[in-house]
Amino acid sequence: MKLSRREFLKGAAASTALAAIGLPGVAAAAEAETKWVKGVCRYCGTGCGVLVGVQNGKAVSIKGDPNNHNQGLLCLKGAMLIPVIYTPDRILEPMIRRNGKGSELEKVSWDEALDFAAKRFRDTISEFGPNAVAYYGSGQALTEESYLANKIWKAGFKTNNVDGNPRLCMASAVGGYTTTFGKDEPMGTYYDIDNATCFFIIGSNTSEAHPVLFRRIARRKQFNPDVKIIVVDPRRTNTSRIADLHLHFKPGTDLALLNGMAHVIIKDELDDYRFHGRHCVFKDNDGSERTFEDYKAFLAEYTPERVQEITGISAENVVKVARLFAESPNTLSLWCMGINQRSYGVWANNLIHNLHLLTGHIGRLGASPLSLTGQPNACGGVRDTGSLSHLLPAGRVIANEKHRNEMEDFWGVPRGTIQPTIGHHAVALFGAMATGDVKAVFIHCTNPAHTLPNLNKYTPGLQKAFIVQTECFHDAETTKYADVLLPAAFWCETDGVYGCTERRYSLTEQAVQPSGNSRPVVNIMMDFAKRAGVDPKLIPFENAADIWDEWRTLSNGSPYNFYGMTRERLKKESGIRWPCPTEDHPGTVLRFVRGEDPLVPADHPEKVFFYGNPNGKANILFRPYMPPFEPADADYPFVLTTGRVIDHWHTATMTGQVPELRKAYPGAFVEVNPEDAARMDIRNGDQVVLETRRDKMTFPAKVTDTCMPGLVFCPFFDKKKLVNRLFHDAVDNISKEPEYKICATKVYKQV
Amino acid sequence: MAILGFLVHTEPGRCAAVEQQVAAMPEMTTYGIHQDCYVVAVAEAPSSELEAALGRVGQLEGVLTCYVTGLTTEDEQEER
Repeated sequence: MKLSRREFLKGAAASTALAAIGLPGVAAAAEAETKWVKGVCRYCGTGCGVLVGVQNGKAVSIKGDPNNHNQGLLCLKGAMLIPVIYTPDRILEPMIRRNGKGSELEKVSWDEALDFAAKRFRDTISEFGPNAVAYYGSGQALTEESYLANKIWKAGFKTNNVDGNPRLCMASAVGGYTTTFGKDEPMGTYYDIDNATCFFIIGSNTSEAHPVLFRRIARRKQFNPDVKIIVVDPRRTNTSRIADLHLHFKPGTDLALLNGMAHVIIKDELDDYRFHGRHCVFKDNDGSERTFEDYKAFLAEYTPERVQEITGISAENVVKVARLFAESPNTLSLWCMGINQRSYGVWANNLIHNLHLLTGHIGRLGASPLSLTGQPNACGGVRDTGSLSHLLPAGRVIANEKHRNEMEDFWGVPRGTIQPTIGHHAVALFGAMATGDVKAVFIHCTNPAHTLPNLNKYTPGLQKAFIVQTECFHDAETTKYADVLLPAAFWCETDGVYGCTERRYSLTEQAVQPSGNSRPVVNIMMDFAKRAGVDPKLIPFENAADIWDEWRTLSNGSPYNFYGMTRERLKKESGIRWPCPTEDHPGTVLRFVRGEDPLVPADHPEKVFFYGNPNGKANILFRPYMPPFEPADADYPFVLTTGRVIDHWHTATMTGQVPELRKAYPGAFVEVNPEDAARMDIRNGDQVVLETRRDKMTFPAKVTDTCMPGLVFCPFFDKKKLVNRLFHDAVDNISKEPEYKICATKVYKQV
Repeated sequence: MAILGFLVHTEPGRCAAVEQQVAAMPEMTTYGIHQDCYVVAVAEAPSSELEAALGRVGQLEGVLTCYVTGLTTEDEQEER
C-alpha cells in the first residue's frame, strides 16, 4: 500500500504517541528526508528530551525523545518550540542606543556593538573599580555559558557581582539542601515517581508547571490504586484532581503544618529511630547540636489542635497526613515555588527534609525529598557551576579561602584574584543599580524588568545603569532599558548542556544554523570580554565543547563529579545523572547510598553516608513556624499569590510568540473564590482592582473555586499587566529569594 | 496544516467513551485505546487551531490530561 505524504505524517505522529506508552508504531516507512537531532526542551526544569526534525536546513518537526526520561512525551508548550525559532520578533542584528537611554536602537555591526559595550565596561572598572560592573544570568542559559560568565566576571573582571534569575526561584531549595545535607542538589530522581507509594506534593502545581511529570505521577496512581497522593496547596489546582487528600491552608502557614506532622509522627512512634539515630544530627536554629529529646520538646507546641488554629487545616487532617506520610512504604515529596518563594523558604525546605530524615523515607527508590526546578538549567548551569554571588563551582563558596584558592589555581590566576566578599544577590543588585553603586550590567537570557518583585522600586536602576543584553526577542520588558542588544543563537541553533531537576545532564546538539546575524552566546561573551580587557589566556576556548571539557575536568574529585560525561558520550546518550566519575560509569540514581553513589566508598560501614557534611550525617533542624512577611490584615484583607498557567512559560517572551498559545491565555486575570465574589458582586469578566501597599492594578475576574476564600491568584506572564509591581521585595534571610507567593491586598470591583 | 500526535490520559473506566468523543471531532483521528487509560490520537489542523482542539479534548468528561508526543509543521514551514 502506498501512503500519501500526509497519511505518512499522521502515521508517524500516532507512532510517537504509541512509542510513549511502549507500543509499536503504525508508520511502516522510514522518514528518509527528515534528519532528527537530539536536544532538550527549552522550557521548564523537567528537562524533557526532544528530537528536532530538520529538512533543508530548517527545523520543521519536534517529537519527544523516547530514550530520555520523558519517554517520548512533551507538553504543548514544548511541542510548539519550533515556531519560536522563526518568529519575526527575534532580535537578529546587534543594536545600540548611541545616544543613551530613550534614544532609538540602531542596527550596527558586531564590531561596533561589542566595542561600544566593552569600552563602557572597561571605563567603568577603570574609574569605579570592578564592583561597579555585574553579570545577571539565567537558569535558561546553557551550562557552558554560565560557567564561562562566572569565570570571566570572578577571575577576569575580579568582581563577585554574578547572580541570576535562579535566585528568584530555586535559591531556597539550594539553601535547604546545603543546610540539611551539606551540599546542593537532590539525592533522588524521577525513578522515585515510579516507585513511590505516597506522594506529598506541597507548593507545586505540577499539572501546569511540570505537565510531563504530572503524567508520570498520574500513571503511577492509575496502575497502583493503593498509591496515595497528598496535595497541600491553598489553591485547588488541576494537580489536586488526582489527590486522595487535598489540604487547603492559610497561605504562609505551612511551616506549622510541617512541624505538626513531625509532632504526630514522633508522638505516634512512627519515626525511624534506627535511621535518624545513625544518620542524623539534631540542631537548634543557632547551629548548636541538640538531642532527639530536645527536638521532641521543640515540637511540643505543634499539636494538631494548635496547627489547626494556625493553618486552618483540621486537627484530624494534620494527624491523617502525618500518618500517611510516615506509614507509607515509600514517600516522595515534591515541591516547587510555593515553598521556595517565601520569606522563610529555606526553613520550609528544611522542614520537608526533616520529615524524610525522621521517618527514614530517603535513600531508596521511591523515598526522597525531590525539589522540582522551574527552569531548564537552573540546576546544571547555575547551581552546579556556582554562578551566583556567594558561590564558586562545584559546591565551593566565596567565603571559604581554601575554595577561592582552589579556583584561582585551577583558573591560573594569582592567589587573591577572587574577592573574599560575596557580591550582590539579585534583588540587591538592582537596588545597587538604582543607587549608582553598580553602573554597568551584562544581562543574559532573562527579563528582570518583568520579573523582579516590587518592580516600581527597581526600574530606576534599570534606567540608570548601562545595560548590555543578550536576548532573543524584541518585546521583552528589559529590552526597553538595554543600551546594547547582542543577538543570540537560540536553542537548537547552538549546542550546549542542560542539567535538570534530577541531576541529569543532557546535550542539545546544534540542529540548524543561527538565524540572521545571531551568534552563539559563548562566542559573544568571549569576544566581549577580550575587548573589555580580560586576559585572553583566561578564556582559551574555541567553542562550547572546549568549555565543557574544562568544567568537566574541574568537577573531577568534587562532590559534583561528572568527569565521565564526555561530549561524545552525551551525544550518544539521552542524558546521564551525576555523580559519574568515569567514562564507563552509568551515572547515579541514588545519591549518598553505598553501592549506588560512586562517591560513597564501597567499604563504607554505613549504607547511607551524607558526605556533604563533614560528619557524614544530615541535620534535622529546629525551624519554628514564622508567618509570612506581609500577611493579610484589616486594611489589606486578601492574600495575593502568583504563578504560571500551563500554556505560558515565565514572561511569555517565547510562548507569547506562538499564536496558538497566546490565544489560550491572551492576558492575565485574577482568580476570585465564588464566596468572595458573591460578597463583592463580582462576576466573571468584571474588572477587579488589586491594591497593595506598593501599587494597584486592574484585572478581569475569573470566578472559580480554585482559590480558597480570602486568596486571589494572578499569573505573571503578561507584560501588559506586570503583577510583580504589587508584590513586596522581602527576601529569605538565608537564600535571598523573594517572597512572590504571598502579599496582602485589597480586592474590589472597579466602578 | 500541522499534524500533532498526542495521548489522552483518561480516568479509570472512561477510556472508551472518551475515545468515541475524540474520534467524532472532525480534525481528529484516533489510533485505539491502550492500557485501559490512553487514547492515541492525531490532530490535523492549522497550528493556530491546535491549542483549541486540544483544549476541547481536555474538557471532555473523564479526561485527566493530554500529552503531546510530536508535532510537524512541515507544510506550514513550506508555506512561509
